[in-house]
Amino acid sequence: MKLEVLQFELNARKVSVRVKPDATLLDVLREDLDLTGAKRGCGEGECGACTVLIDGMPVDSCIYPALKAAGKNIETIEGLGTEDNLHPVQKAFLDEGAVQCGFCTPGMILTTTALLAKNQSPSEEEVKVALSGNLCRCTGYTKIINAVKVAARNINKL
Amino acid sequence: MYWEKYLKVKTLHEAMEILKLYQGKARLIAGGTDLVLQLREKKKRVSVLVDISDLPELQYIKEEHGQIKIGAMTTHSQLAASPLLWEKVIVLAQAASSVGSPQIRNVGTVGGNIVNAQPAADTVVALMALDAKVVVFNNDGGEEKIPFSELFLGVGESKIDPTSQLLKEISFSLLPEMRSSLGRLARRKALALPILNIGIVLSVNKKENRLHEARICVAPVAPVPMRMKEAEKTLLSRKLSDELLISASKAAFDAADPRNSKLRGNTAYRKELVRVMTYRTLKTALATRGGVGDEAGSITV
Amino acid sequence: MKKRGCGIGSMWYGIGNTGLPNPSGAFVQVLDDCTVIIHTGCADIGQGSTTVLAQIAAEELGVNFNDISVICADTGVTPDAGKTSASRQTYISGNAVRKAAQSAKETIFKKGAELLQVPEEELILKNYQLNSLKNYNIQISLKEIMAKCREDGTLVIGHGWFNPQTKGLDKRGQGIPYATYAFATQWVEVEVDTETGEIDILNVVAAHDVGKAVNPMAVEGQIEGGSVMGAGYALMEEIILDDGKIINSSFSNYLIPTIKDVPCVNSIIVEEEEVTGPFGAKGVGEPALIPTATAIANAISNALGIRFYELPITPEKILNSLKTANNTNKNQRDF
Repeated sequence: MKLEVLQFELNARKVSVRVKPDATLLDVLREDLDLTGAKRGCGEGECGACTVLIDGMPVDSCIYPALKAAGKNIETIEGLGTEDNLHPVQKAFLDEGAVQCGFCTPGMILTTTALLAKNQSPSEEEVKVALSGNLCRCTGYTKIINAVKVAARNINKL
Repeated sequence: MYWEKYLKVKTLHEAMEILKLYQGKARLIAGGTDLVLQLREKKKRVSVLVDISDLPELQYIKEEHGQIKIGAMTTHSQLAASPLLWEKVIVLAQAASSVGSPQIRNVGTVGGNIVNAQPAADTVVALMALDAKVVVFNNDGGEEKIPFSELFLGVGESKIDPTSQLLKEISFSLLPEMRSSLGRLARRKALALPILNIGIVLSVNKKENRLHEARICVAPVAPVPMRMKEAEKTLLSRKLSDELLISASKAAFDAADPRNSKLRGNTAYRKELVRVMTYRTLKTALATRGGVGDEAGSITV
Repeated sequence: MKKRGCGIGSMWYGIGNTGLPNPSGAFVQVLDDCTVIIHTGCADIGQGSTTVLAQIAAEELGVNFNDISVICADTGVTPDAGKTSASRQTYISGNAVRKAAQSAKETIFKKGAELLQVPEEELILKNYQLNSLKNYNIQISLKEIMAKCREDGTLVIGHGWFNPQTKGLDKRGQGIPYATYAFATQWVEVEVDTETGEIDILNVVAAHDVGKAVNPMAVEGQIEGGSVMGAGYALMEEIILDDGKIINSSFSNYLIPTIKDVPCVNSIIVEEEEVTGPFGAKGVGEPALIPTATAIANAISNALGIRFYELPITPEKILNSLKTANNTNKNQRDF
């Protein structure tokens, strides 16, 4: 099988990687680039665990052909903050207990980051609409909504 | 392997040339949010995918001479964020906002939604009620216009063949004193296919308190979205009143013939929803504003 | 028309396996630098047991939570702690870890008593410091004790295990199935659309007796998550079969609640300490899910005057029941 060269910007770095023509973006991130933050939940665009940002917008990477991403700007959870220097959204999720099993968390955090980039003080309804493509089975969402509100406040203080 | 080649093209011309070259083995892909799954599940087969989703000449929403024109690669998110649509064509803005999830709306396009021809596709229901047309390019260089009423052949089947044709534009006329609304019911409040979708477009004659025009599209109550002709006729037959809306809803109820579905519910239940939701959506539509020449806002019945 | 109703659901739930032995074991070692390693078979699947077990060891040994590392759920090196099920890990593995920490502490006390020349019973270990309860000036740091242990070749390692006191059920179903029970009551308010059958959950208040909340934030998280799963159970979750085959085995047709389907959950933690629990703790995992569906079904019946005996209560079932109810004599309703 012939591999194709895929070039894009990943977490503010130019990346060139040889990929199978029918690979998804999630395959390439997890299998070729060892970025396992984005999770494979349902694999059919129904749960949002694989969410990454493409040109700033949340996208389900499990059904996104890798070669579609050519020339685009991709952000994954790995590009957001480090353990010593957390992104305000990551910090808010930890502080508010919005992380339990953690499987939906990278997607939740990236979607929140995209929301807060557009809307600095979202209402509860706007938070719900923005996160309606990210399923969570174990937190019950209450603490996630709190975390988004806290993150918004903290970002505005910066 | 689900496909062997994935080509992102820079121009419309290039896309059409590739389709011609591969003679049926290449197929256009837009957002791919449905197509990728269909290829994976081997419901569709193809060797070459030709990605046209980034072509700027296919991404626009504009108003020209009383018409709204939309480039086929406009995403649902772009439609849902369009002030023009929220002001003049609420039904379409609502439909685009109802599709899947934000992640799907950011990638999925209105053109893809149409060509994929699912029986209750949100934007299709709205566009049927808007009496829209599509402009299609053929790979012999020709161009044709197809009205929505002729576009769909069956579940997952549209007249547009993505191995040789490119859906370029969707257009429809704004009506005088236009009112519109989408009624939608699903098993949950997000990320769910509709149990019922109703697109309603009305043109109001405020002076006489009647309708100039009424269009009701309901899905999924048949393999393709269905215009409720009897209900529409009823609405035009006399002055607006609550009784009129009730009889129109009854006419829609009579015409709807959804099948028993273990996932969507049984026929009796789904028919009853058609009645309730037609009535409610008519009420909401009449309370909106839109179209051209609308000054005084809502009217009451 | 929209009708509102309120309902309550209450439950008790036995912690641990029913009438069966279900032991858990743990090792605790205090190292020369006063950090602690716990080995436990307890699998943290997101409920927070690793955090809770570290808190229990820290409390017992008088050291900081941050100085504890937990090696868990590795069958190659950790002792059996049984399954993460039956809401049992905080209660059972929590006790095992506490006992292992107590056993490590015995070595520390023995050495401390020897060095300070006071009886062991007089000593207290807190903030990395061993003190005499009788005379606070008699003291020695944990670090010094660890150094002395190192000098004479003593390792500070403890093991502990716990098996709840149960008695198997006899033919008549009699026995002592559980050593302790969790209790909860939830209150739910719903709004039902009588024309479409749609149900909106407006409010959830969930009060849970957890013994002692070792980690209140994690307990709230369990309550909130369990309640939402219970809401899914009540209103939408159902495995649908066709000819014996599951036809809704994906996330696109087996629907669970999204963030738009549920309100924020108000949780109330009730602390009625359990004498056999570690620092009084019991469990909360499954209890959080149990009363929600009952409360919702009661709220719906309060709104409509109709009882539902089958879950999920779908809009279709609501409409069908309303139709049947309209066809019978309304005066005969008992609500």
